[in-house]
Amino acid sequence: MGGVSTLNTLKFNSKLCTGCGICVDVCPYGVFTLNSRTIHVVRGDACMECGACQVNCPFDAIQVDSGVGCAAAMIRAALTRREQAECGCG
Amino acid sequence: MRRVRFTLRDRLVLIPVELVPVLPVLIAVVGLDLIGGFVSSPPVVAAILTGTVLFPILLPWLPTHAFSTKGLILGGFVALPFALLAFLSGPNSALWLRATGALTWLLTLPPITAFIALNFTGSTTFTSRTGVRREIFAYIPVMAWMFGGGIALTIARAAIKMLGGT
Repeated sequence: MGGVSTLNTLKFNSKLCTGCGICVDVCPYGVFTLNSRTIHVVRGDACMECGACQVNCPFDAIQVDSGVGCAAAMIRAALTRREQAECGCG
Repeated sequence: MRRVRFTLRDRLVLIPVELVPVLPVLIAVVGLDLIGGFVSSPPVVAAILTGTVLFPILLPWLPTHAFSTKGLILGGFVALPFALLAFLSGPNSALWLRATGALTWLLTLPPITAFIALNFTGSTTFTSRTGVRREIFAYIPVMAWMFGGGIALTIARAAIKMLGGT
């Protein structure tokens, strides 16, 4: 599974992909396109790591480190040695 | 294919949400000012409100890519009038005292706005965790040094003034 951008953690495994196109439908930034039943990562840098593609991919062909992106929550998680930041906005 | 946008209206809706976590700080700052003048609240309140209200509104038009630098620039503009006021007030004071007085605002206010601006990454529809992590490592030390330097300068000025070094 290879990384597609240095700006985020999105990884796409073309060997597991069947070209169903769900990732194309759910991605809000047009990161993927479907050409003759093959998925292509065309805008890897635009990925905001929302995780919609990973959650919806039925074949586990996509991996991305998604979660709370609030700086205060991430700093709090680092200080309390927790792996995952939790949103504290209520 | 659906696309996510982040219009002015979307950003305006978020302002009250951004205000909630800073409300206790605002109350504390104003309270400390009213009780005994421990903090000069107008500049601090201005820096906080700039980060929570003005920053989301001006976000697409602020220069640079990183939210922290956008916040530092905006905070710099907020600090300028207070720095100028500190420099021009008390014309009988020593020049170094007026200059350092202005410098304290230029050092302490921009990091306040910048930190609030950095936190707005959690509300946007286009920032990634990886990007935020990079910004934290790149700019939190800068903000901490600026703010810490400003506080240290304030304490040093107060100490010298108390010892009669004006």
